Amino acid sequence: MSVKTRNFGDIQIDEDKVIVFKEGIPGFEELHKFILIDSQDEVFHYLQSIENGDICFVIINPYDLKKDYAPIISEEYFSKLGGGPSEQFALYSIVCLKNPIQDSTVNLAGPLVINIENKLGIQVVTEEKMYSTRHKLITLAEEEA
Amino acid sequence: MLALTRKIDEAIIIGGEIEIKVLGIQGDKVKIGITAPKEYSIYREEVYKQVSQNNQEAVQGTQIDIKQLKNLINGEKK
Repeated sequence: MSVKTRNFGDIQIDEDKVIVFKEGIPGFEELHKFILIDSQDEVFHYLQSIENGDICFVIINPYDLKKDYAPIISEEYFSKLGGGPSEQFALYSIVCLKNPIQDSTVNLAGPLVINIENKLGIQVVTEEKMYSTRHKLITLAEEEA
Repeated sequence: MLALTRKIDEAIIIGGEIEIKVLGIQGDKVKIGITAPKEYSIYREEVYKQVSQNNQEAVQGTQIDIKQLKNLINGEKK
């Protein structure tokens, strides 16, 4: 199937690559179907809604910029996604692009958890105190350097 | 919004499957117990709202030049 998107134009969707967020995503509760667009660039990826072509999140693999990233995610999130061994789950963090670009932030407190096997996803909503929902992206890159 | 007044140990049932019970009251704090099917995620409103707002901002920003962002990150990682 083909989807008209704001950022990538018309794209072809592989049905079995669709990721389902049964509860939607906070702020977009009515959107349930997304696809992961892996850019050739290793750092940034995209979570594109296939129900609303205008909605697309820039995401990163938090471990790429923070090797010791260790959020506390309750077992409930994993069982909501069908459970399974930890290797089956991928974590992504939503990036908030800003103008000027140096002010861009990443949500390290509420990662997206995706079960790679059954393609179910959910966003973690917790009172995680160790990480911020608005961690400066540039600070993260500096720390890793 | 439906407003009901309940005493301690009194409850409210929604849709026949969700129960909200007043467990205790201490000063300006009310302890609320919630029983609901697993499919319902229960969050404190201000926490959910923060994530929700963050996501909405994130989507608005996507138009901004990704290239600039990549250069910024790569610059730092040298």
